[in-house]
Amino acid sequence: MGILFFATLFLFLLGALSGFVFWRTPHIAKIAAHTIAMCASLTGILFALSVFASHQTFQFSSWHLFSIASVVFSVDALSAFFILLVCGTGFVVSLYAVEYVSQYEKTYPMGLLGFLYNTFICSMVLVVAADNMIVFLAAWELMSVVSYFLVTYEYKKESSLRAGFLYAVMTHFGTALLVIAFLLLFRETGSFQFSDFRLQSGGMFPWLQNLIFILAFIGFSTKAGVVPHHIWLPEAHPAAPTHISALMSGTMIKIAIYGIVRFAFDLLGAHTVWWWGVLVLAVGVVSAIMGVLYALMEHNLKRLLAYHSVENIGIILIGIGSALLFQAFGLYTFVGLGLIAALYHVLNHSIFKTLLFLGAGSVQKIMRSNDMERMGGLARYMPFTAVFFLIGAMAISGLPPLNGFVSEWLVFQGLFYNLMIDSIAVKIGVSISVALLALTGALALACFAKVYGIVFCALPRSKEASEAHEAGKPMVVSMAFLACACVALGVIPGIGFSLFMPIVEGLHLGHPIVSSWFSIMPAQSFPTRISPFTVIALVGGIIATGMLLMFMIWGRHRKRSAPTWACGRVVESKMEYTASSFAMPFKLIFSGLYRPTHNIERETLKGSQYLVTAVRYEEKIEPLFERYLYEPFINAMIALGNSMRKIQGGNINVYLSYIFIALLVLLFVFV
Amino acid sequence: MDTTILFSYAGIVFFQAGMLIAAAPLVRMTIKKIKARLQNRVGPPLLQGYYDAFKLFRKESVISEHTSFIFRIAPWIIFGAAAGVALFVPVLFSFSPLGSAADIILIIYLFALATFFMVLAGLDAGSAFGGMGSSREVMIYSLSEPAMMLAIFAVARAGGSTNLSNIISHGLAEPGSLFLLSNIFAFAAFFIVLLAENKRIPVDNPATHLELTMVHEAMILEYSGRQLALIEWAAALKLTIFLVLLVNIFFPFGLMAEFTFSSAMLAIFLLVVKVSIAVCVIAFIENSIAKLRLFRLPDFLGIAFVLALIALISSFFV
Repeated sequence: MGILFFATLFLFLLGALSGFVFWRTPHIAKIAAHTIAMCASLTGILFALSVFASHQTFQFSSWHLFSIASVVFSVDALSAFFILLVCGTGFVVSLYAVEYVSQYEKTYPMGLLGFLYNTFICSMVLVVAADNMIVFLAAWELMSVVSYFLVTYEYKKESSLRAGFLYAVMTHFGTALLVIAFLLLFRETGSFQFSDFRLQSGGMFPWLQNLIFILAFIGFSTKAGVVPHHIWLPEAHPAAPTHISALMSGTMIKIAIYGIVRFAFDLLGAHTVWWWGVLVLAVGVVSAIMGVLYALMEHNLKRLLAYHSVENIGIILIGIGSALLFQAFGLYTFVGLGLIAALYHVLNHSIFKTLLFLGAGSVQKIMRSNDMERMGGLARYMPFTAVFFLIGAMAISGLPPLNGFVSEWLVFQGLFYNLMIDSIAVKIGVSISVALLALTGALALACFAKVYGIVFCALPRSKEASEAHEAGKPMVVSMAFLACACVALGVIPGIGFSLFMPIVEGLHLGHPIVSSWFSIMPAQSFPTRISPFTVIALVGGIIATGMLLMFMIWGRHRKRSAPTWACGRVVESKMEYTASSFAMPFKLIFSGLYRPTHNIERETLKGSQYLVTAVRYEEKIEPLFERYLYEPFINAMIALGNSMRKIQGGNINVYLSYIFIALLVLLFVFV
Repeated sequence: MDTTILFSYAGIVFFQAGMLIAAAPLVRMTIKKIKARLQNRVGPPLLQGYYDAFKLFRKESVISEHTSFIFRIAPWIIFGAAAGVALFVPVLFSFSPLGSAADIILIIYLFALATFFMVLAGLDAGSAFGGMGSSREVMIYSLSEPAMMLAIFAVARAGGSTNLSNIISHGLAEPGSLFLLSNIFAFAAFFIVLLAENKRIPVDNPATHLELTMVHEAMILEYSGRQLALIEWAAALKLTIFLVLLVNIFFPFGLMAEFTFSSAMLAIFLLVVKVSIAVCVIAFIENSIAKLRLFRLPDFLGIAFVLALIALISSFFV
């Protein structure tokens, strides 16, 4: 097992180095770096599976520095699950990248991309394997820095640099809080080891535990892109190369979920207060609904997908919050239901979001744009991409028989059994969460109907769209992998449960779920049970029987082809509904939130009132969080900086006196 | 499992589903007929739905050359989803033999699957009507979904399970619980959702052919022949299933727990009576109020949402 773990790390390192070795031959660098990344990911998958197979925790500690083991890894079922996620996604994305990154060969250094790419995946493996706060924070920082460089990879574009800056600031805000949380733990336990945190966290003051939880939760949720820390996602995802966006959205933000689960159920698991659950649930609900509402208004494909990551992280947090509520109110046997729902959604989201991003990348590569309003009719020109994107869109909308349905159903079941909690206030909160989760699911369906319908259906809206062609083979094959995974996890939920059961047992939590390969019972003492496979087999059977019956009775279905009816005119792409018009009803309904403004300019012929030659239409929605949360904060910081200038006289004696005063104050406070 | 039980269960499932599928156009046409009678018109014959469908099944389909594969598969998926749901719904018995395969949330999501494909099919032909219908459809669907889920939670809570058989058996075992405040509010919410999901007045006018007011009709504008018949039949089936769900969840009296000939006759008779009453109520509503303006719908569906929320919250105080 150890061999596999270090082989994984070594191969990623090799992949990173190959970027430098073949710096001058971009074509070889591209193939070498991504092929090695694929091998490394495969090794990582094998390693994770072997951890699951052995039912043991893989542990490794190396040389001792000042009598403290300085490099410590421990991979239990939870970590192994996330390694599986990172490496599984890494494998597929690497395959995709071989073809996708060719477009950068002439403009940007390919060797650099290969180096950063391998380091990025490796750093994510290190974060989840770490069993020591120093290693954890180092790997976390490596992950943040490398991903910053990946976001700004297209450094010749001003927008990439700005997005990267925002990302760097936000992610370091989160890291700062994590460092404080870890230092508080260190202060209390006198150790860097997670195992000591686990043992001693129960004995800490309750307020300290609460403080650590809050700090860790805010720190991790910044990385996860939870509202109101989500503002970096819609900037960074479109700026990064698409396969990097896929990795960031599919796996990196899940690493933050790993952190939350690790803190909430493992390191601080001995002590859960009711409001932890309420907090996580509330934040999850707000993220879910805000994410999907902003996604609906977004017509840039990659920004839209980024907002959906905010939504899905919210759904994951709803699952975690529901588990924390069970824990806090003593329904210990139900804790696993919420947690498994969350982890199932983690797994599913990383599959279908990667799939959707890869699909968006294929479209972007051909369209040279992310603007949905210029697309249309692509299903005819890129049929495979269309089918796979459709599967991803159905999965993210939570439609059976795909995987998104199973996890959303489990989240609903978690909330349903949350209603057994003996507290009216919590029950009312849960009821509202149910309503908002249902609304989120329905709006996600609306949004993906918009995406698929506008991008792939009907007539092409631009010249590029009408000249589109299918993406290259590696890109199509990698999407096929993910689409198959969506279907498999949807109809055979047992695959997922074989991973989650060891995790829940490893964390010493109870769970009420009974599952077989094809069926799920969320709570053993209640008769709820679903079997998506049976359902879909029956539906398929009905469709087949229906087709056969009709064929036998009325003969072959005769079809004739004709243009779409357009009231007697020739149908044109200008007549079609656009993404904006499709989302228009939502803009009106939720205008209180969006506060839309629009601007119409008409150019007329010789000042005539009636002969309009051109119309410019522009609409904007108000970025609520940026305007009312971040702008005041930034302004306050600038004002503070300006006022600080007054004490900066430039005279060295003044500075010396400052140092002297500071010293006196410190002595006074601490001695 | 015993083979005889297995066969009898299979028989029940397919008999009930077959009954719902066969009766669906009749239910839809009955509403039309009652409406016509209320307006002093003769109205179409009760079997008109079948005449239309069988005629359309024979005719060729004109398919727009601008469409993709979505347009071709959508009618089958829409019909398959609705007919699939018919297998899982308790119709004459207080339980569904296939209840362990699908709970009520899965049933709702199967209808969502049909909605998704209907919306895509509306967009697929590239005409403005289809897009307009689709856009309105997802709006109505999104706003009715929270009310639906809350109403389900309110009725499912007492029995501790979202399994439909369990909800209905629990109602039968404790008839008092059916007349609790929470159930009455949930009933009202579910009824409004029924109107919205099935595109009845005041949400959508099934009789309209004016582009600006259409929702369902706008989405299916490009369909013809066999495909149109399938979609229309599926729409009628969806309405029938919603009506059966409504009467069986909130008024489960007369449902069989075991098969005997007399109780089966009684169950069929009572089901027909209950559905007929519901159909009459819908016809009266459609006759007495006008279709709401599109942007008044959030208020209307908001009522359903508030009712459902009250239903769920009041169920905590029992």
